Amino acid sequence: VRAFNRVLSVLFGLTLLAGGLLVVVEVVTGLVDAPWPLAVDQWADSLQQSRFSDTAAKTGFLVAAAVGLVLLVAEARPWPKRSLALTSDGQRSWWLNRRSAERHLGRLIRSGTSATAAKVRLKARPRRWAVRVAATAAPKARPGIEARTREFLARLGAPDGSSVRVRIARRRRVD
Amino acid sequence: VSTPALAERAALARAVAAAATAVPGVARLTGGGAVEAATLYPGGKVVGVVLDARAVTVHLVAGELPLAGLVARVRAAVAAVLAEVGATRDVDLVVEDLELPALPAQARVVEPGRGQEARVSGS
Repeated sequence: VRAFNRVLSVLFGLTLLAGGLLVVVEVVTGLVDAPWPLAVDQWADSLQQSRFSDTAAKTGFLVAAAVGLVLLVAEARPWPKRSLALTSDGQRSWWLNRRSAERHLGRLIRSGTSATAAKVRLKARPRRWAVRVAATAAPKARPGIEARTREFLARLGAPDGSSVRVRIARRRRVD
Repeated sequence: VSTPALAERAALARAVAAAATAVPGVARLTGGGAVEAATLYPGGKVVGVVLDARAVTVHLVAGELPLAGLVARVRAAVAAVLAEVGATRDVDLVVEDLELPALPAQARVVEPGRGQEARVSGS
């Protein structure tokens, strides 16, 4: 999200910069009575003659509204935190990169159980983590996957009582 | 900011980085994600160490588990460096990644239906 916000900030900044430069150029050319490099008067005429019912206007409004809505949802929705806060023995907190932990746990499950694929999602709730594992395996592999997950969480220092939910998708049989 | 202050800052960041890297179990320090965590100074930077008025934050790649013990050792090593120079700052640690030669130790799990205990090994 930080990178996304930076990209948005850069785009917004570039737009403002371009708009500002355009105004400066237009003002300067107006002061020296030179012909305007951009025919603003033609734009104004064109815009004044446009109607709300015109296809171009409606398309423009719809696109702007859709982009605005997407950006609003992207900024407002609760994205997973980049790092998980941990404490040990009542000491000061430290942080663990969430994606790294998810990646390693997925690898651990794939290498240590009969699962052929495993996707892991870690969420930090107050005082505990919620771990969701979606694995492609036989149903009988569930206890092994859960055991591996809990073992790994303990080694990471996850809070006691963290919840682990394993969802099994059966392997496709190839005849 | 005066040049001596910058030099002190750079020296402190380098000392913290050296102390943290020397702790067994620390694979290396890292700048982290898209926004690099580093202490910048004229002519260079110390990647993985961020100094501010309140705290020293160390971003590291762990080479061993469990993490709690490793974190405690790194924190103690950095605190010793700060104490040596008389700097009073908190020590914050961020484990940015794990670099484990072998994933955590072997566990024994039972997969029902196999009729025997299955040995699970790390890769």
